[in-house]
Amino acid sequence: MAQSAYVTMGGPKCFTSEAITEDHTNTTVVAAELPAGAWVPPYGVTVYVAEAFAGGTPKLNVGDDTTADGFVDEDDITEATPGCYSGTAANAAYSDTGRYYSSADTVDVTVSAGLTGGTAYVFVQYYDFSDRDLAAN
Amino acid sequence: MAQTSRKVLGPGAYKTIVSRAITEADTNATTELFEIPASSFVPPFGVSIQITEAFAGGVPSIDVGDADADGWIDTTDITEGTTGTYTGDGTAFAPTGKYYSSKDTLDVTLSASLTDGTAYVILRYWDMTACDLAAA
Repeated sequence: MAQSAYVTMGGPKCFTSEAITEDHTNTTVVAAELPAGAWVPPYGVTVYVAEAFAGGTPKLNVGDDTTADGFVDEDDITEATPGCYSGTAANAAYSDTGRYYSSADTVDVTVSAGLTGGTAYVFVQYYDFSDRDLAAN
Repeated sequence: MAQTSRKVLGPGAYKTIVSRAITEADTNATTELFEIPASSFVPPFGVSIQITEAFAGGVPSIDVGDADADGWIDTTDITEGTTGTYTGDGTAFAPTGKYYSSKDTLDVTLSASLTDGTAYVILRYWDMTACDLAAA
């Protein structure tokens, strides 16, 4: 059987955002800066609600510059209940496929208006493929 | 756009642990496999079970969880009589992952009357002790 060349990659890395709180209400914040060549595996982005959100109708969406809810959609999160939440295929385009970034991008969190309380952290697991040229041949 | 400062954990913070052999000797009991340290994040689908020898005797069932005994892998996710790798599907924690702010244990519960079988549980988690993820 013919074999294609392969490269064994190193282990994963994980961004943890700083606390996302009511201070970020009605804004979009950068949770992670992905370098060019980053690959986020399926279910690689998780929202950890450490303190229940309150005020207005609490909503968090996590995505990138292309799709604001690409990784975790507000419908995948019960913002008023502490716990971990990941995206679902039904709501978040990248959640069950993962996503490769040929150029640098950011993972962003869109925070709803009117929040008066709450704390969340976003975990972004990824592999750095920057030393492996994945260009089309 | 506002930015939050952030931390990056390297591969050294990513841990993978394989349990001891789980066999018919553990029948009809709940057994602690690992202690999960405080400030650990087990990612989605971070717990798997490898059945290397088919289980037999009684009606074999295996659950893997913490205080929620089938929170990671439910017996309905496993064909205990068939060797292979199994991961939770619709369980409480498998699709979402779980952050442990305080230490806990990962436990396996085996059904009664087992006469044979061998399995290993594989746990993957991130050590986030450097991140201080308290409510703000």
